[in-house]
Amino acid sequence: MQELKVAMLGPTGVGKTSLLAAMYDQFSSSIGKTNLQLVADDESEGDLQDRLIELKSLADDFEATGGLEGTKGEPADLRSFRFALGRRGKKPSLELQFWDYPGGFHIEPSPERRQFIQKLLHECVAIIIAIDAPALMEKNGKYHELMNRPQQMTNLFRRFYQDLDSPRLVIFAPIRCEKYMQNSRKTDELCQKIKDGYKGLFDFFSAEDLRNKVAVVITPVQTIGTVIFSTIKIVDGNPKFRFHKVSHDASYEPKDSEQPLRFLLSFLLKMHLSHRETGIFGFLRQVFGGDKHLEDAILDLSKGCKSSNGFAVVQGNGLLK
Amino acid sequence: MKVYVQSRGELQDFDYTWKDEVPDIEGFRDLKNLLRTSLFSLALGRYKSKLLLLVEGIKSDRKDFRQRVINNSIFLVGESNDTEDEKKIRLIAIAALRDELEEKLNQAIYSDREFGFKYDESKIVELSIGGNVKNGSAEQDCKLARYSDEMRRKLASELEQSTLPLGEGPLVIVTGNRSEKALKEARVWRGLSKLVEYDHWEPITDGSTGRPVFFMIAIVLTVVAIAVIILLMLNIPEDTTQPSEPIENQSETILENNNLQENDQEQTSYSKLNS
Repeated sequence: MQELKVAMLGPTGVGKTSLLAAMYDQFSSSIGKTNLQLVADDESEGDLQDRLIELKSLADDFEATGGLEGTKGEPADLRSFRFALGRRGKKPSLELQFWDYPGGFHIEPSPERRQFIQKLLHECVAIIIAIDAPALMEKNGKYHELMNRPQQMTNLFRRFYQDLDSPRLVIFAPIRCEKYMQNSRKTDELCQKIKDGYKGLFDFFSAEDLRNKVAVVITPVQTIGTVIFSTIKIVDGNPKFRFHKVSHDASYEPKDSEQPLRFLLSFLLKMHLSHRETGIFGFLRQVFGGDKHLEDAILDLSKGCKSSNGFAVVQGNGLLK
Repeated sequence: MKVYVQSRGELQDFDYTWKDEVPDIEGFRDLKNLLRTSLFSLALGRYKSKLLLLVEGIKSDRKDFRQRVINNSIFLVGESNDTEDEKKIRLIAIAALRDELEEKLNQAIYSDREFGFKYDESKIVELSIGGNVKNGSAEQDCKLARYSDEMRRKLASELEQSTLPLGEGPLVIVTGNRSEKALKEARVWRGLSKLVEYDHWEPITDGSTGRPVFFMIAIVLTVVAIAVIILLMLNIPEDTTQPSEPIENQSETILENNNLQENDQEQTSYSKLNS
């Protein structure tokens, strides 16, 4: 089976693991309507189920405090979450590997940790940057640099996205964004703040050498759906972000957490159909293997990619459609 | 006994880390790789005359900057042949399996503004004080079962009643999502995981996967030793009747033999390539 790697990128506490758990939760419901099947291996499924239970439990209390337990470990301890993708009733031809890691690697970058992140950026076809939306949106973005570390993210890409030999997909995924998805005015504002907050990175991607190689999209993900930001309380000089449920009886109801997968598969199909099956995409020939039904199934799924109301294809439309 | 602690501080700058350093002890990675869950996990093993205990995912009363509960992990390194060390490690493992560590560790591991967290090593070693264990012989069969509170209690009782079996490698693994196959391949003595099929202790009967390494090695060594003794006894009369070759000639013979073997290997490789 061919392997495709995807990295969850971001500093500690922004919500990489929450995003992954929410994505996993909606994989089956979104895939279920197509001719595709996506099956997690037993160990990945067990881990993600544990995480999902944690995530759902956040919607149990009205003052939904906390988040998923932070990821721990050194590079040698980390394992990917694996999903086998294929046409329904057929042997899967592609394994999607999602790599999560402790965000603290960015704060204390030992040589091994630095090498791990370098390898991720080098080998992963798609990078999903998790963004803490309240830190970006509230108090005029006062805590954006502290929580999301956009400059650090920009420097990583500057360092490791040099002389790319094949196209890549970068997904900006603001999470805990329920408050900013209520109407089109707010969603437009969210989109604009992301572009402003990561201006250096967007400028880097739009440079001549990368413009045609990197597809950039924004896909807000409401990981719980019914929990919204309420206030920031300062304790001992440090911000504590508070959230609450939209109503006392509201339950877990995630929204749009399947969008990153739709964009990812859309990107792969485009790479295949435009005969870019060299380098990092050399495996695509084996994955599709003349299977027109698989192409159609992915095409079907990718039709659900959103591009308005907070969602946007910032660049590289030609790499996606 | 050496103690390592993994935890984090409240602020974003203090992510999870081992103190004073990431353990660089043979067996640590082996045990760590057998644990897979974000929840409570425990691993016990013997490696190179050391007895190791790793307990992960022990909830603390501290929270991080995201109001997430901070978890503590401890890694203890004792001497394998030191009965006192084994007793301490068994008692701490039993306490962990019975959910009795949280509160005590909260007193031993605490917040620190400068370093994120600090710990009191003596308080961690003292976790075993007051407990008692019996020293019955360990049942040798390797067994696996599905992770449950009841099986955790049963395992704790077994560790309380008998000493740990001898043998190199992982002995006890308690974790959430490690496959049955992985636990069998690792030849653990007792294994609990949510991915194991049986809800009770199921002996691993397959000799190729279930026996502890120590016993397998012991059996092989015994057979080899018997074979060598028989061969030596058979060779004694011949040696006494034939004069020995000069040492120089023996060396030449060995070199020639190695050359012949190398040539044989080359031919084998080529024939593989040709075929």
